[in-house]
Amino acid sequence: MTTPRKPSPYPRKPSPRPRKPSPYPPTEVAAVNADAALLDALASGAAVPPEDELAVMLAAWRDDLGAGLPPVSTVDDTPTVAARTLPGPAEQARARQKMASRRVTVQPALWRPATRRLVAAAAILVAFCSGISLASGNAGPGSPLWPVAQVVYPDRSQVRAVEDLLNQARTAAAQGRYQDAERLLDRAAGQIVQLNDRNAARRLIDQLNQIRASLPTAVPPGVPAPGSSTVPGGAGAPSPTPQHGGGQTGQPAPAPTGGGGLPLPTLPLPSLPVPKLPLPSLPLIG
Amino acid sequence: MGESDLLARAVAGDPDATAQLLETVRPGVVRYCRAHLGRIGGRFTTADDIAQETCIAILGALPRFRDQGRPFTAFVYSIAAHKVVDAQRAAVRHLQVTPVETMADHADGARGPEQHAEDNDLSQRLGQLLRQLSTVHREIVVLRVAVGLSAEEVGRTLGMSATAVRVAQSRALAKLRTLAGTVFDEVPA
Repeated sequence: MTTPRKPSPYPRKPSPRPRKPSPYPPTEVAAVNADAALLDALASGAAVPPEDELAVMLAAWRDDLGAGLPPVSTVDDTPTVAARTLPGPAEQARARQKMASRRVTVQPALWRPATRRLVAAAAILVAFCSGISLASGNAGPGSPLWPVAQVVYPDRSQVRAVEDLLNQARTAAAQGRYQDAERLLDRAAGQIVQLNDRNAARRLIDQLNQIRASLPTAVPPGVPAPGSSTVPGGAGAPSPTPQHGGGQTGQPAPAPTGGGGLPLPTLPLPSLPVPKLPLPSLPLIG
Repeated sequence: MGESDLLARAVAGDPDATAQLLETVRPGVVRYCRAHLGRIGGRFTTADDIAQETCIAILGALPRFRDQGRPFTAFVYSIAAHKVVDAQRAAVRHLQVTPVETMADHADGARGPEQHAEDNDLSQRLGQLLRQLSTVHREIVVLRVAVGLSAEEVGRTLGMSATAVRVAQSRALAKLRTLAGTVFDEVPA
């Protein structure tokens, strides 16, 4: 600092931060300073004098606005904001366009972030489910999609279940496990009668009879079929395989019939409801 | 120093710096939007959506920031202010179709019992008082208290001197005190 100071010939430029006490009366200056101190305290999140009602209100408001903010903004949302908006040039372009037009008001509900996420999730779910459903069209028993197929294509999956049983019976017959084959054929027959598709039922009965014809007719009568208790429908159904029931009661097995004639078993079986042909329920036997 | 460096890198398009910058800016933006828009249906969902939009807009406008020659807080909160105004306009348009309580409570005359019940919430009461301030006063209170800017920062944001901000904020508080006095008188202790 130079002590002897001449008045400058140039007009003083107003300093960017005028220091002179304002033209306001001193009481107001004191109030301004007190309010500034109060607002500083509020801005920094400090506590406020409880006797000042407005200060308490402002503090409550300030705290309310920050409700859930630190976890929401800094931990969860910010990374997703960055991750979602940063890498996409399309997103940036869109944002710029929005900025330029300034016409963005409250967005339609479909495009709010939360809703958007929900919609996307729903779309993915729908796509996934329909994909699974379509893929399950060819699923057979044993396939991971089989449970889906049973729900989505009940008719087709019933047919497949029977076909599967028939294939197993065929294998069993080829391997000489005749009792197993019989049992499987009984189960198949029980399910065939519940099919809604008559053409498929006819075709399957045909196959079933062919397999049965390939079996040796003399099944030892005294041997109880192990699976008999699990197949109530098979026992009560108009199945072309009365040998099985015969085995249970010790009667001689009648000869298997061919073709379309399906002899009803006339045994005194437990009072099971005899399923009629058009049965709407899903038979999940076995 | 670190902040201006961060800002420079973000403006230059550095994705890490941009993410970090948005992260620092976002809490203030959220508070700003919440302060102006309040709770709707008891939630800040709408305000937070607008805050999100503001952040996206900031992101989009960031490359142009240098040209404007204003402090970054001014840049941020002018964008936020536009977003808030847009949202309020949309809300008013929406309210013309289905009148909701938000419109009703600017009439100070007959106050029904449910409004008294709402008044129990201090924060909500202050929100009502704020609506009766002038735009500049309200903006100052929001930036000072809700966002937590200093008087100097508010001045730079609003294009005022810090002294002018100090005077204006004091007047805003005086007005709020007057308004609050009438409210306090009405609310049974």
